[in-house]
Amino acid sequence: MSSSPNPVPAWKDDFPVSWVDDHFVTRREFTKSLVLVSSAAFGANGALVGLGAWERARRSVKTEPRRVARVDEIPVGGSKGFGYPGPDEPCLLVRLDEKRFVAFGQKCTHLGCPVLYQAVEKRLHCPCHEGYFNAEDGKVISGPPPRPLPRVELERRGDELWAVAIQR
Amino acid sequence: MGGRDPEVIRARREQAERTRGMTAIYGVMASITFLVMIQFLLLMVAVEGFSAGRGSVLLPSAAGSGLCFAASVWLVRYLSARVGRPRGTS
Repeated sequence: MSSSPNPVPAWKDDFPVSWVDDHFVTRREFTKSLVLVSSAAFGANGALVGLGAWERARRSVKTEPRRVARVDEIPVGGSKGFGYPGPDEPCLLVRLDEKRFVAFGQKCTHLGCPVLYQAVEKRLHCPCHEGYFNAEDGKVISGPPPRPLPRVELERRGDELWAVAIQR
Repeated sequence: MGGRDPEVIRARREQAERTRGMTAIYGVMASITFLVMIQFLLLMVAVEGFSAGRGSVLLPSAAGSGLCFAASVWLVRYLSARVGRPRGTS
């Protein structure tokens, strides 16, 4: 029986980190990866702040006034679609009574379906998911829409109605 | 008695240090996990607010998330200072 001069087996040179120390390192690395996740969450939150600021800047862009309709063109309780600020952005002009006109963006704030005016109830109805908006101020009455309809500011010039701004 | 053997005393001391280090690591891990969970909740609130057009929630949630991140970094740095690197690693 021959005894080895080196009591440490050769395989230990290939695996110098002990089991306990290996766990030690694994946990430390896991902790570092948690910090990476934390930084990613912070980054995502920061990106949302940036997106929000960009969205606000985009919304506050000045828009050119645009002729919408003649006053006598729409009967009381009637409505007319138009595009504002651009022709591809649908809006709806509503005549509430003899003197009062209001206009809103026609896309429902839920999923973008076009809303329609219901004169008897004086409300705007989204037929896709049964969302209802108050025709006076565009606020949500019921249904899934998360926010009011964008309101178009109107100006009367003689017997014509002009859209001058949009409040999103 | 092996209890007075310097080798045994050194081994026990190392064992005790390692145990303390592991406790610190587990504590830091639990704390950072908690902070990351809070960050995810804040992120959910921010996404919800952004989708609903409520921009007022974005900045406070980002600030809260930043605080959680700073706390996580501080905890990891504390861990490095408190425990140091384990034996057998470069």
